[in-house]
Amino acid sequence: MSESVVAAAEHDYIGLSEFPIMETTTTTTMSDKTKTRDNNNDGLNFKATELRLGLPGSESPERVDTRFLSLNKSSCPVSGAKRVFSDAINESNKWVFSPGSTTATGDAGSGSGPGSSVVKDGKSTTFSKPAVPVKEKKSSATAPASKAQVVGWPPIRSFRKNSMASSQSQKPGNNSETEEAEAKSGPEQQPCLYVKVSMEGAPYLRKIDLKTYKSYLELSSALEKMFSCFTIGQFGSHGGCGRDGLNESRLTDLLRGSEYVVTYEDKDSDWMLVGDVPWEMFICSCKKLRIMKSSEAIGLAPRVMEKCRSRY
Amino acid sequence: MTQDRSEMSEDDDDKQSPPLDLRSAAIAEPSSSSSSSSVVVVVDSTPNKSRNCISSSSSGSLTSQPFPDHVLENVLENVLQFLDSRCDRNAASLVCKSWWRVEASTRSEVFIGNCYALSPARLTQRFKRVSSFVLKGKPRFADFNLMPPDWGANFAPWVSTMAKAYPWLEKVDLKRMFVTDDDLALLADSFPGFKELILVCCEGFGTSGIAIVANKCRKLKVLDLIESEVTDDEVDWISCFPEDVTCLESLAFDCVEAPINFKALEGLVARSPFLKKLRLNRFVSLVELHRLLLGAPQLTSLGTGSFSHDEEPQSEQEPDYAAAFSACKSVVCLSGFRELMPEYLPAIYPVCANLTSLNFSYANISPDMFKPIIQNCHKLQVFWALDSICDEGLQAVAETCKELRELRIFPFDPREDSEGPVSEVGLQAISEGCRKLESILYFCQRMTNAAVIAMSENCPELTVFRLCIMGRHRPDHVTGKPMDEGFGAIVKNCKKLTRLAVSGLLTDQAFRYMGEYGKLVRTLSVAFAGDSDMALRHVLEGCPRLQKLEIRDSPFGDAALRSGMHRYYNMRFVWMSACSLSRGCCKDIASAMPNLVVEVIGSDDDDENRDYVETLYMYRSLDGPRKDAPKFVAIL
Repeated sequence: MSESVVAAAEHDYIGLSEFPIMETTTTTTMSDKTKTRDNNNDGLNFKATELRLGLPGSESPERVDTRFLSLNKSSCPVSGAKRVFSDAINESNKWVFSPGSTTATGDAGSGSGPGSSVVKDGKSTTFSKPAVPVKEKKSSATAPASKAQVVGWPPIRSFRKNSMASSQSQKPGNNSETEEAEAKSGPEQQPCLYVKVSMEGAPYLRKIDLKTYKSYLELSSALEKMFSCFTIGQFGSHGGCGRDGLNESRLTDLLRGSEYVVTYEDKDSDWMLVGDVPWEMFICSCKKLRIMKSSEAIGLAPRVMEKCRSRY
Repeated sequence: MTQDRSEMSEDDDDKQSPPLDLRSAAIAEPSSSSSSSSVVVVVDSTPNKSRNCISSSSSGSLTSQPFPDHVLENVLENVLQFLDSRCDRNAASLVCKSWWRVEASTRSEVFIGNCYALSPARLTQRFKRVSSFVLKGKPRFADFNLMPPDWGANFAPWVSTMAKAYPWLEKVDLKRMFVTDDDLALLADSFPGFKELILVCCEGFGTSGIAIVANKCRKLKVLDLIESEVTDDEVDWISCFPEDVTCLESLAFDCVEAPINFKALEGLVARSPFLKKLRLNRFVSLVELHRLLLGAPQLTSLGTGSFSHDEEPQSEQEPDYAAAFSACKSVVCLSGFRELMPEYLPAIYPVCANLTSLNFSYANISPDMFKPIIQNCHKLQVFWALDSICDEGLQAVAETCKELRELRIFPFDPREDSEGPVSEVGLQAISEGCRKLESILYFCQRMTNAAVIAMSENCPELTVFRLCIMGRHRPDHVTGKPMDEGFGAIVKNCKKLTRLAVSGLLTDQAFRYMGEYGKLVRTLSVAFAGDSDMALRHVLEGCPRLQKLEIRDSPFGDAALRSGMHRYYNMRFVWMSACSLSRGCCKDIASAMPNLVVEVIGSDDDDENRDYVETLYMYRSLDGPRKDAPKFVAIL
């Protein structure tokens, strides 16, 4: 149940008409932020709807407070997100919470609503908007009965929140790393697709967003630019990549010629040569890129051919 | 107050000679003594009437100057070299065109408080010899998830422009900017003499970018990553520093959430004889810290990493941590303690007496553990901690730390309804014991007006007062009244106050006080406060120095927003989220003030609530609306 509640915390909510409509004349809540991408279909008056989010006991508060999860740069580890995703898909018809629950958000939108919004948002929920609770009447001197939490309040930076959470659990940040790794292999709908690119002999690797390229040509020219320093340095003709530009034609020779090949690790953790499959298929299955010397890559060829035959 | 009716001023010559854009000749603050924020190329006027003389006297063409002016400019250059403060330089640049030109050619440190206030091209056109560059991006409320990611504040256009214009650039200091690995790579490639990189609350890059900087910036003295999000690219960036002796003086990576190669770090520290500041991340254990300390007793500032063990200590003797600390005679600044094992805390006793800065804000320390430590810290000036030290701990601070200038108490459990171990008792004690206090940030669950009033009376040096009563709309818990009187006393009695953050139950009265007394306030943060538009009007009409205004969830509407139109060109930005603003009003303001960029940030395009403005972020800009706005930002 806690995973579902975490799920609730992560994804959008559809306003409930059962909830009391709040006056919006003088004060407004951030209930607008609870709109999902599917809201256009629902036509509820979101502005006036207040939602409450109950804290599920000792769940880390930042999960509740995080409105905007970004795919790779998230500093808010959501360890339950992967389960959430699959849970949501499996339970899309059951993903309805009872309104009065103090531990769950009242999200009684149509059964397919949350499910589809989860699928649509996937792991890349840039606007996962946890429900925003009611804004209390100012005259009330008591705290609200339900444990409602507001986005971004109290104003503590997520870094600090996460640090407290992780030091409490004494785990060395596995959560965030897992998230990143899983995020990278997430569904195709995600808006960006970061993969690491390493090169033999280079002291550090780079990351690129495969979605920004439309073809192998674009990808390889980008890679050439990125790793030019090393190849030029290696062959000693220039002193390293300076501002005077890259010798692209030479690089092309290097990369496309006999010296280096670009390989990638696919979903099955096999290393394949880049360029054999259609581009769309490639970006769906590519997890990592590596530029290696052709001599090293020779062993790949036969497997690639086999794989291609069996797969296609 | 009427002085603020001044419009954005422009140099008359702007119209006559487009290539040399003199619109940027105006400037910011009238002699503010505060070292924080003032925009360099801001369009504004000082209230000083002499500005009019400037505009009218600087007519005439920009072509050849008569001979005496050349001499004058040479002399000026030599003199202006000595001006460091940007406020002074801004003032000097307003004297006349000649001074403007000379100042522009001699300014080496540039500060830009809002990256969208001008374009990079304008910067490089005006200032030709920049060696140090400070740039701030997103507004502060973005830290609390009130703004979608990918909003902007990209460093890329800046670094690519500066790469061509300032090859001798030495220092880059960014706050809340989006910096990619590519940007870092370009930086490392473009500036051969690069010395200092400081990234505060930035994101968008990872350890691979850091590796590039480490590897290529051979003259690097400072690499400070502070509260930034650094993705773990599984790169051993520590090993990327060059093999020979480094120039490193400061290395701070406590925010890097990735394991590091300790052996490489040890080697790096060993070949960095100038290293004074070292802030480790939580992947460095106590044992490793010990080894580093033995090798680097010259450190002055130390971030201690996790301050714990991963596994059970060996059966052999444990290292003598206290001895290692006592060898560090120069340590005056201590932080870290990210996963503190309290039984090892006494190891720091030897350095306590020298400490001027202590940051326990990641350590859940109880009062009993805390008191023996703090009782030795007589010289402490800056102290950050969690509220786990309780009022009792604060009382101990008050008894010992008579030199305290800055105090920050963070909540261990940052929820509205958490227990709240600190209260007005701690605040009162601090106010009585630490009379030199200048800056305070205090999170609590309960507060009284009396304690806040006491602080206003006991601590006349306060310039920063930020009180966060975590329960929204909470009144004085003893009297049940709003917190108006407390905050009122602060603005009234603390004559040097420049920054204020309010909380708790507040009526319009509190804002009336702010408008009446807060004459030096430059930054104001408001959340869940006020009753009506009048509150905001009081502030906009009464606070002539107001530069940064951030408001959330408060009942301020169009009338209030309009009442501030005479101020907005004189401010760095205004943020209002979840208030009562309409799109129509924002559009009106945008039309009336062409040099104001009015951004309406929404999270979807639901047409039903088209008129309601969820988040308004507006700021002055010399170069018009930005071109990189994402689709959820509407620029009116």
